[in-house]
This record gives sequence, structure tokens and C-alpha cells, in this order.
Amino acid sequence: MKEKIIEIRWHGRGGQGVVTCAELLAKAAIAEGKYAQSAPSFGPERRGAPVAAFLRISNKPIYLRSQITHPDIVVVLDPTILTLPDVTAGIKKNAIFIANTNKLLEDVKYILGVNVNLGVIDATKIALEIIRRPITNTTMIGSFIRATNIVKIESVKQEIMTRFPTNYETNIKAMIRGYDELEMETDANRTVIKEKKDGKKAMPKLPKWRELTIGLTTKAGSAQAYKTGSWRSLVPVTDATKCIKCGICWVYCPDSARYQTPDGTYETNFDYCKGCGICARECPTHCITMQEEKE
Amino acid sequence: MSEQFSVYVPKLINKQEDFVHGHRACQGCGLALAVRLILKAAGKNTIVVSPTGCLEIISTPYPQSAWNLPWVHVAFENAAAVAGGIEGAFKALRAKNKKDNKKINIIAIGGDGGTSDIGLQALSGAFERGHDFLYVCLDNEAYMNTGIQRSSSTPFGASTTTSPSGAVSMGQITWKKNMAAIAAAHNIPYVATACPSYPFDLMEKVQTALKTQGPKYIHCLVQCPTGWGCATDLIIRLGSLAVETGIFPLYEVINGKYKLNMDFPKLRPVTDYLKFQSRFRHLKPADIAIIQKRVEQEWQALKQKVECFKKTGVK
Amino acid sequence: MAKREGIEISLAVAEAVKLADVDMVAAYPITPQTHIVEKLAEMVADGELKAAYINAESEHSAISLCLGSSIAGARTYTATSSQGLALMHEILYIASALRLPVVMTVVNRALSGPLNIWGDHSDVMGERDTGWIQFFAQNGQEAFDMTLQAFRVAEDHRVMLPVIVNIDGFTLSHVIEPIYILEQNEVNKFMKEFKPLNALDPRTPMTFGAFATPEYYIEAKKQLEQALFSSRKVITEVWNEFGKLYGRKYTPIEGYKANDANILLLTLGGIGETAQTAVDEMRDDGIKVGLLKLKLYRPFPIQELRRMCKKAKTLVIAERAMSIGGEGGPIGFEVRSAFYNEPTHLKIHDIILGLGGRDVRVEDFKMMINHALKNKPKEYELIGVRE
Ligand SMILES: Cc1ncc(C[n+]2csc(CCOP(=O)(O)OP(=O)(O)O)c2C)c(N)n1
Ligand code: SF4
Ligand code: SF4
Ligand code: SF4
Ligand SMILES: [Mg+2]
Repeated sequence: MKEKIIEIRWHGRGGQGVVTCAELLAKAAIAEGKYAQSAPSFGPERRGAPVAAFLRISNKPIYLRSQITHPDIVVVLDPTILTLPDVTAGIKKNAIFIANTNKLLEDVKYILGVNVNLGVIDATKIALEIIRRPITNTTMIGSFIRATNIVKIESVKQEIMTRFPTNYETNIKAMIRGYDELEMETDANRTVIKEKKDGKKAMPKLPKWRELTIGLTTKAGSAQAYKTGSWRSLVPVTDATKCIKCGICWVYCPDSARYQTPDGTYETNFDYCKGCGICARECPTHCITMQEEKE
Repeated sequence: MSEQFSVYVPKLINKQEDFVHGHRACQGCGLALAVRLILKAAGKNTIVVSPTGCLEIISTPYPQSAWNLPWVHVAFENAAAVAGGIEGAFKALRAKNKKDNKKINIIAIGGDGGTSDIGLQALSGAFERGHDFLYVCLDNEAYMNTGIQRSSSTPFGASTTTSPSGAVSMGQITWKKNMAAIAAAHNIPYVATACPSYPFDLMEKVQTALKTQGPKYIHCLVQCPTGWGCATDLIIRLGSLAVETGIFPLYEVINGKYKLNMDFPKLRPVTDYLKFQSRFRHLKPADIAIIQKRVEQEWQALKQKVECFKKTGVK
Repeated sequence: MAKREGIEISLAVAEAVKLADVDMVAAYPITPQTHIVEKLAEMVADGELKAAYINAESEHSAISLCLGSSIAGARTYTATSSQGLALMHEILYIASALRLPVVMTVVNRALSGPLNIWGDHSDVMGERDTGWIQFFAQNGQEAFDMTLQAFRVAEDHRVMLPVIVNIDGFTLSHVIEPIYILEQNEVNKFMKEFKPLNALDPRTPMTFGAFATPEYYIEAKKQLEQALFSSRKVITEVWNEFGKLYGRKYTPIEGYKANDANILLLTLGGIGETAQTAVDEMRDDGIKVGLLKLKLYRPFPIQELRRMCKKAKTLVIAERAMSIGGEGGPIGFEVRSAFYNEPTHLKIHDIILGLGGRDVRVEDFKMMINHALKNKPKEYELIGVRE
């Protein structure tokens, strides 16, 4: 490891354990005598929303508490958020990028639209096989270690054992498979793509203080501009032929994301549906099924 | 599903969405669902006051708002006072002919912490002064906004981040504060319990309350998959189970008179409700037996109140 | 014509509130504020004042009721003291952030503990940074006038900020003295109709009290700070208009024999008049002493202060609040820092006195001045303590 501070950003959804990733690795690095810092992003986002966590690791004391804006390494735990601009925001040239995906490496590179040193792993599949839940954090830690070699797998094992006293075995297994099965570009086989212009997130233009409303009043209903569809990892698919137009799904949706089509049946508003599955569960004719969201 | 849906429910329900999508509530948030339904029942001529809590945070990150109605947040412990101030001001302005007489509903919607803990004094004061407003407590049984800490409304046995279960702890060791009874003790004209699993019941209660003059209180159990540790798609079932086990009975207290809205010849065992939630996962059979006994006692006590009013016809 | 009346200052304040035709009063009693709110309750009960009088169950709720009322579009007033003000603390910041023109009289009283119901400024100094405009009255007439002025300033659309009018507990609030009480028709020439900038109204739904992430918070605070700074212009306008109408002139700092003084006193509130007598007596003894009375505390009139101290060599601050552990009082800190980068050789002495209702006498000021002139007094001193 070089003498510099390595900055790592983790992406996932609230509730998927991104913060746990950063914490376990920080603790493991500290246990090895290194210096590390992990921090969650302190936002109001709730479970399901895309969130990030931050990790710094160094051989020397870290005198830096500002946010990580130009990461050396990015790890994405959830395949359905790969296309979000936040994931590639500010990323360094030829940074290491590890994605949980079942897509081909070349395809992911194209989707990302930036020239990174890419690694792919189908962590969801591994987690489902071993942990029986799509919680990919420990699998992704394995891939991270393989790609970066910053901490030792042994030290992370220790941390996992302390953190998950009852189910550490499956988590360690998942980590090892994440380590073994990572597919990583090497200098020899690096694919170079034409970078997309919008690959890097443009700084949103925020209003100047004079432009804020007096007393910070807000326009009614303006939250509709925020599309919560990106929170979804499962998607309700409706078989309209079985729909009896009862509207129960519409009544129970906390996100008012079901609407009536001209023929009277109900469909999902994918801009806002968070994929909670209530509609599918409550539909009296079982005409809604929750399916894996496509990347 | 014990509430009967007639086919084509949308015909019966206000189509207008005044709690708009784009709000940041967790997937499957019962609180967001309850608010959506409450606003449907209340209609356009409504002002909403909210204290600090999940509801405020998920709905109003500047410069956006999920509220289509006038809405105001001031602080955590004072929603009832702010609502009272609005009501008092309207009254004064009308008396001085500075405002027309068109009825405007004033609804304060707060969490269990903002209601039964830190906001209890302001609420009691507002009830006692007789402001014409409706207070709805959306009870997700903990301080969810700050990370699932216990409140006085957290049920016995639930593990929260400040009442964790552990080697020598069974989680929350106090019994849930009975806010509806506290509200009723203020002799206000309308008190009810509700749950969004029963949307028609909830909406009807909101409408009954808004038709009643004076202070009104609705205590609404709202499912929180994040804080309760349950599957997001199960929340409607869980609400029904809370009612069917007798853990959260649906009733009204109209001018002091108790009325049970949903009676059961036999309650379901509490485990039917508890087993779907990780906050109760650590409970041992003996703990559950304690809960079962207490639920039955309280159910009987409630039924006695209902019976007593039936017999005496006390108004 | 205004009537010259011997009237208790608290009651004169209540008269001003009535003349301002407030729509809503919400309050909780605390000594020494009680006479104001009792009088207002009586006025409402007698139908003299057409307003809602709401008996809050705490000061926290009183101020919260006021915020609700103001945001509903009503002219709103409250009054409190000491512990009551401290209990309101949290909500005061929100009142200014929401830009609600609530007017409040703070009848200044010491903060517990030990419990003490008598006057000093320790209560309001804790609210320095809440974003409220703050006036300090030095006598009954000012208390009456400033109460009216407060509504005009607060409700001006260029301002839209809450205002505190400070009056000393007991030594002002409970004193009967001659005050010109304006007639309603005279007041009507001065007061304007309250038109809220935005109000809670289902016809024009709006969200009030959104939360701001780090991307917005600083801008929001900057907006508030600018509003407070710009209120200076409106305050001056309102004072000028008031002066034209009723002949009483107001300035942020009132100078007394200050122009040629080489030693100046600085006071807030009622002790200013006692200090004035001390100045007269010392002038008779040939001491070139003058006096500055700070009437506008927020926004702080830093330029006027610097200008009025240009010729003096020494400034003695006499203030009635401590900042325990801070080697000075809150006014001392602010004044000292106002001169830190100035090319003056002004010597500043920060004297704290009159805490918890301890009497402040002419001799106290004389002693301060004599010390400052002869000995080498400390930069900061708490005086009147039995050693
Ligand atoms: C005076 C004060 N104390 C503490 C807080 C921190 N706080 C904000 S929301 C909250 C809990 C809210 O709980 P509840 O009212 O049950 O609403 P929920 O978020 O669960 O819906 C707390 C403790 C605060 N904002 N203000
Ligand atoms: S609940 Fe099912 S059957 Fe009823 S409207 Fe929705 S999709 Fe159709
Ligand atoms: S899964 Fe169904 S109920 Fe849940 S947000 Fe989507 S449409 Fe609404
Ligand atoms: S924490 Fe609970 S109450 Fe809060 S938004 Fe999430 S599900 Fe809703
Ligand atoms: Mg709660």
C-alpha cells in the first residue's frame, strides 16, 4: 500500500449494509495497526433510498474530516443503482470500481460511461445462495479485498465474527466467494470506452441566498419532482387480464403509485413506486407479482 | 382482511392526492399511507400542523414539499399549541370581520413521541382550552426519525435501540401508555383509535371528528417496517393482526361514551402478530404469556366500558 | 390629544398593545410580567380589546401559540420574563426563521438559580442570537412608544421579523410615572394594517417550516442575517415618522452630554436615567463625562457606537448580565470587539452590576468613573460584591 490516503465510497440502498461495509473494513484496518475512518452519509433518506458510506484507509494518521468527493475506489452493492449519476460522481481517472451485477464486464463499463478499472461480481446470487437474503455487503467486502489488497481477509473475518456472533459463518463464506469470484480487468485486458459526457455528475446548480424564498416557504406538492422509482429493487408487474378493477392496490399504496388506466384496470406509476410489495400482497386476485428490478 | 371492500372502492374515496408521491418515506411506510388517507378524508379546506419526526423529515426537504395543503412545522413538542394558535387566530380574525366564515379544518398530525412524551403537555393544554381542532397521533411505537429509540408508546417487550433486548434485558419493560384514555380523560367530544389497515374506518373517523365541534383525538397505529423489523409488504396484514389479537382495539369515545368498532368472539393469540416482527423476536414463551394476559385484561376492561354505557345509556 | 397620565409602566405597555389593536395574545404568567398580561386579559374580558386571549399552559406553548397565530395572519403579542423566556428559547429561533412578526415584551428578570424574581438582563442576553430585533426602554414613555413602534417595524414587508421590547423588571415594570398615552385616532395615523407576507390558507396552500440540508442552511441563515441588518433602515424610518407625529425622537444610541466627553458611560435600560443624574453631578465637579444609552441592541448599531466614541479616551460599560467564566459581560464582549480593529486608543472597562435586583445608585456610576480616571481599573469587574 502506498503512503497516501485511500478514499473509498460505498453505494447501496438504505438497509443494505453499506455503512456496515465501511465500518467492518475500518475496524479491520485499525486492528492491523493502520489508520482508518468510516462515516455514513447523514441524509434524511429512508430505507430503500440510494445511500452512500465513506471509508479512508492509510498507513499514517489521517488529518482530514471533509467529505470524500474524488474517490480512489467505488463499490456498488446494488445492481439497480449503477446508472445513478451519484455512483460515478467525482471519481478519479482509472479508479477501481467494483459493481454487484450479473451483466458482462464490457456492458457495465459502457453503462457507467467512465474509464475505470472495473471489477464485476454477481453478489446478489452469492448472497441468496449462502445467506438466503439479498444482503450483499459481506460478499462485496470479499471482492473489495481481492481488488485492492488494502486489508487482510483474516482481519475482516475477526470483525465479522464480532459483529455477527450468530451468523458469522455464512457471512464469512459469502466474503470468500466474493473474493474468489470477482472478475477484474487487468492492465492487459483493459477495455477503453468513449466516456459519456454525463458520466460524471454535474454539480447541481443551487440557488443563491437571495433566491431562497422568504422564511423558506415551499411550494405545495413540489416533492413530485423527486422520483422515488430509483429506490425500487422489486417491481410490481400487473396481469391486467386478471384485474377486477377493485382499486384495493390503489387504496393501500403508501406512495400513491397505482393508477387507473382508461380500461379501468390498475397499473403502476414506475416513477414513484418504491417496490414495497403491498399491492401484490393485498390484491384479491393475485394479479400483481413482484419481480426482480432490471438494471 | 376483515374490512369488507365493496368492489370499485375508488368510487367511494376521494381521488385527490394531497400527500403527493415523491415523499421520502421508507418502502411500505404505514405512516405515509395513513397521512394519505387522512387527507383524502379531510378534503381541501384543511390546514395541517406537524411536529418534528419522520413525517416532517420525509415530506419537506427544502425546497420540496409533499403537502398539497397548507402545512406548518415549528418544533417537536408543540404541534398542539401551534394548531391552537392558528385556531385562536382564525376565531379572532373572524370576530373582527377580517376573515370569512368558511370552515377550515385544522389537523395536527404527530408521532407517538411528539404526542405522548415531549408533546403531551402542549396537547393537554390545547384539549383543556377547547380549541376546535383534530389531533391525530400516528403511533409507530418508537422514535423512528432518530433511529428507533423507545417511547412511552413502545409496547412491552419490544426491542428498540434504547430499550434493547440483551442477556439481562427483555427489551421495553414498561407498558404502552394509553394515550386514547388520556385524551378521553380531558372530556373532549371525540376520541377514536384507528389503523390504515382499515382505510374506510380511518377515513370515517376523520370525517366524524371534523364534523364535531371542539378538540378531537384519533390515535392511529401505523406500521413501520424499518422500526418493527417486518417485511414491507406485510404491513396491512400486521395492522389487521394488531386489531384481531386485541393488541390494538378499534373503538371510539363519543362524548364520553365508549363504542367498540370491531368486536371478536375470540381474540387471536398475540403471537400471530408478534412473530412477524424482529423487535419481538427475542421474547420467550413466558414473556409472551405475560403479554397475552395483559391484552386480554385490557380487552375485557374496554368491553366493560362499552357494556356499561350500553346499559346506562349515559350520554 | 395624548393624555399625560400617572400610570404603571406595565399598564402603559398593555395600553399600547390595545391601541395597536392586536388580534391575539397568548401568554403564561411570571413575575414581573404579570401586570401586563392581567391587564390585557381584563381588556379582552371587558370588550375593550377585540382579541383572542389564550391562557397557555407554559411559555413554550405561549410562544408556539403565537407562531401559529402569526402564521395564520393575526397580529400577535406576548410577554414574559426570565425562566419563561428561557423556556421559549428553542422557539425564538424558529419565529425569526419563519419571519413571523410577533411582538414580545420581556420584563427583564434574573435567571435562576438561585431563584430571584428581581431585575437584571441575564434573561434576554441568552436570546442575543435568536434573530429577533431588540429594543431597550429606559423609562415608561419609551416602553409605551417602543411597543407601538415594534409592530410597525416587525410587520413591514421589508423586515418581517419578531421584536422584543425589553423593560427592566420592577424598576420599570412596576413603577408609576407620568406617561403620554396616545389616543386611538392618533395611533391610527401611525399604525398600518397587518398584511402577512404569506399565511396559512387553503386557497393558496404553502409549506412552512421545511428542513434545510447543508446545501441550504447557510443561505437560509444569511437571508435572516441580511433581513436583520436591513431592518435598520426601516427602524430609522419608523422612528423618524414617530418623531414627526408625536415629537419624541428615537435613535439607536442616545447620547447625553456625550459630544465633548473624554470619558463615556454605556448603559442599557432603566439604569440609564440614574447614570444621567450621575453625569450631571460629575459635570458639576468638572469631570468631562458623558453617557451613551443603547436602545437598539439587535441589530447592533456598531457604526453609531464607533462614531459616538470617536473623541472619548475611555468607555465604561455598565451592564446587568454576566457571562460566567468569560472575563466580561455580553455587552462588554461585543463593544470591545467593535473597537478591536479601530485606530482608536479607547480604553474599555466592563463593569457588571445590579444583578438580581441589587440597587444601582448614582454613587455607583461616580465610583466607576473615578476609578477609571484615577486608578488603573481592571478590564472587567463585578462590582458591589461583599468581599
Ligand atoms: C426538543 C427536541 N428533542 C429531541 C429532538 C430529536 N427528535 C426529533 S424527532 C424525534 C423522535 C420522533 O418520534 P415520534 O414523535 O414518535 O415520530 P416518528 O419519527 O416516530 O414518526 C426526536 C427524539 C428534537 N427534534 N427536539
Ligand atoms: S388490487 Fe388487483 S384486482 Fe384490484 S385493482 Fe388492483 S390489480 Fe386490480
Ligand atoms: S409496490 Fe405497489 S404498493 Fe408498493 S409502492 Fe409500488 S405500487 Fe405502491
Ligand atoms: S422509519 Fe418507519 S415511520 Fe419512518 S419513514 Fe420509515 S417506515 Fe415510515
Ligand atoms: Mg414514533
